[in-house]
Amino acid sequence: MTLFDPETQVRPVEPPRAVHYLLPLAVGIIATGVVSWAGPVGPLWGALVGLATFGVLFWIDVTKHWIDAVVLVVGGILGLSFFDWVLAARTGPIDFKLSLVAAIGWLIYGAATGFVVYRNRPGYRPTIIGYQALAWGGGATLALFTATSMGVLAPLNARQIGNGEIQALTVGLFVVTGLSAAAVGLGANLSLATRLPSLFAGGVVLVLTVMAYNEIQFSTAAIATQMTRIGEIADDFWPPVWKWPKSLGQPDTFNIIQPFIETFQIAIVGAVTGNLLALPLAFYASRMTSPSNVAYRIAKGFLNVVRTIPDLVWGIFFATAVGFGNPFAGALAMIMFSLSIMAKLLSETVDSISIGPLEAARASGATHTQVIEYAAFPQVKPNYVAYSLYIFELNIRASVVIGFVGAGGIGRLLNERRNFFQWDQVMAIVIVIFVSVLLIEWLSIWARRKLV
Amino acid sequence: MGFIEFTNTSVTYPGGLVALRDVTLTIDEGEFVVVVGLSGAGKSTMLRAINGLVPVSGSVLVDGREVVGASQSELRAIRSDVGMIFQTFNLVNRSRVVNNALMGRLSKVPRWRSLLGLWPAEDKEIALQSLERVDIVEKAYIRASDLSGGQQQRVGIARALAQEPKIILADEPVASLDPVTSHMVMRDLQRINQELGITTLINLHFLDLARQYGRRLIGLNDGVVVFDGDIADVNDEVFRGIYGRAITPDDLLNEK
Ligand SMILES: Nc1ncnc2c1ncn2[C@@H]1O[C@H](COP(=O)(O)OP(=O)(O)OP(=O)(O)O)[C@@H](O)[C@H]1O
Ligand SMILES: [Mg+2]
Repeated sequence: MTLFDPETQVRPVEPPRAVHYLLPLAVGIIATGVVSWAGPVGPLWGALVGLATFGVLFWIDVTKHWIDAVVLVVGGILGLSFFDWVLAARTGPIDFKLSLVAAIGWLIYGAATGFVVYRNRPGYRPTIIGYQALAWGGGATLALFTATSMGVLAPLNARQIGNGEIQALTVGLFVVTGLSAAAVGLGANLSLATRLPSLFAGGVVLVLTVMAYNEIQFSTAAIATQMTRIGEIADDFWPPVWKWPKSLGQPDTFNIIQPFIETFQIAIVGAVTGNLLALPLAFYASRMTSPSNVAYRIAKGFLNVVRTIPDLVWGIFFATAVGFGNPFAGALAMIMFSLSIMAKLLSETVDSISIGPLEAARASGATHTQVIEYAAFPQVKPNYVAYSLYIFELNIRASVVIGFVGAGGIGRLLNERRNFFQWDQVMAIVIVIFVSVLLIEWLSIWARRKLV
Repeated sequence: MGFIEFTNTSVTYPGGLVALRDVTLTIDEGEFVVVVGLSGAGKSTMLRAINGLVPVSGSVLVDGREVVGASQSELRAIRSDVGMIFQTFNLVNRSRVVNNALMGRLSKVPRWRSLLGLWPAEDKEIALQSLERVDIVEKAYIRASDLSGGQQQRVGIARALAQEPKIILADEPVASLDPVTSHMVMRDLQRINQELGITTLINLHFLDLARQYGRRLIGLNDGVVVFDGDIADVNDEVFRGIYGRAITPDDLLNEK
């Protein structure tokens, strides 16, 4: 019996929403950037940042209490005063460690924002205080550190930062990122159920490989006679050499990191941009959601053309267009690569969504964009996230390869060392690529499993 | 407000099939009208002519606004005043119940707000109140797919109510529900019609449901209106005119 009885109805508490975490954080990172750029500016800025955050929280209906404005302003003043004090008391240039210490001020402020959200939203656990604190502290560290190393904060620096220092700091940052990535990857703890199919697949591959070897007359006898050669080759490759002079007469340095980060950046820029661009395109390229037949044909035709061009050709094309060895060329090639895969996968997924919700949204007077966002996109969202991770994985590998044809990154370095016959250095590079691809694959598998 | 005026209205589908033929009738504000007919008679087509979801000719006035030949934005304006309820609920299964209800507010909020998902507090309140009206608010933050059929249809009704509509069109709203749940949903719709005075048109398969809840009955046969009158006047002869045969237990929900 469901006769309407308002007395017995209990409204549940709204569970946490991403926007409550992200918006204050975005304000924080922008505010931190502005404040660090402006130099030591005193507690007034802290009060302003507090008011700005309160404005955002007010606007998204988290709090309407003035007492929270006071909490945020006091938090801002405390936090920024600490930040300023650390920067003013420094003796050397601003390095990663100093950025980290100074960011404690922002950590305090983040805790204040987390507290305000926690106090006003019954659905939140106290952990949001910690999350916000860490996020603000982390954001501030990165903002300060990046601004310093990019030279934006030159007036703040006692002296120019040397090249070696920047490299050391970058390495430090990289190590931290790598370690946390590794921790998450290990934490994934793949169950036996996921390992069994891969073992089986491994077995199949093994059998096929043996058969293929047979096919090309690969006999074990030949290997045996070549054994001595293998020893020689192994001698060339092992042990790996991690350091070599950048150019003649210079001291040995660790040269892999810079191009490796470049490859990573190419992959990220390519995947993120390509996946975002593919989003509207995929909906245009499906009959289900295309605004018109003409739009459908144009989108589909464009995708067919883009897809027939392999990533290597994109690499060569953009390397010629924007400059040989330029990472920008690699990024452009990876954008086209990601775009074509994502748009194809996603538009095929969109083809199979149920049309009912689309009709319901249309019948309520929604615009075409709203129909797609609210009725179509939610139906393919998990697929979209899973494809994004998968494409990022592909991008890492592909961007290594296109480095060979002049699109920057670690592929360029690998090619260069190979041309010098520096096999032991090539080995070091290969190890770095191998380990990182493996790590990213673990991470991506783990994240995709979480989604389903 | 909330009257509907058909004048020589026809619907011809792209293949050339005429699914609604020269219908002329008026539905007054606040009426509760039941439409019956054989499968393929054009019941769904008639409802969809009102919010312009099918290619319609002649004239359909909704609240004095012409549907035939309306521009996209005029159509959206008309649709935003007409809530629709479906046989298969048509909820976004992966989205939460409250987000499904909020879909009824899409035409009422600025586009940038809907794009970012930053719903104004008033609109959230309206969505929650419409969930309260069909007694399902305690499921507000659960995925729609985790509800039973009857609960899902109530969310479908709440989505229509969130539009604050002047007219509700329900296309066989209980056809996929069991008899007990069917009666609950029919009562919800009747109550909404009585309490809020929303003009309501319902397509039904079962004649006794029509008798129990309806006042005015429209009978369709092959796209033509063959009966339009008080439900009490429906006798065997009228029934034969609509269905081409006598009443069988299959036409009655309570006999099943
Ligand atoms: N999109 C369409 N394109 C072409 N013909 C259609 C379309 N939709 C419906 N028809 C045809 O129009 C006629 C009326 O269909 P309609 O869906 O209105 O019937 P109905 O009375 O609602 O039937 P049911 O009880 O099965 O839902 C049918 O012959 C059907 O095949
Ligand atoms: Mg129908």
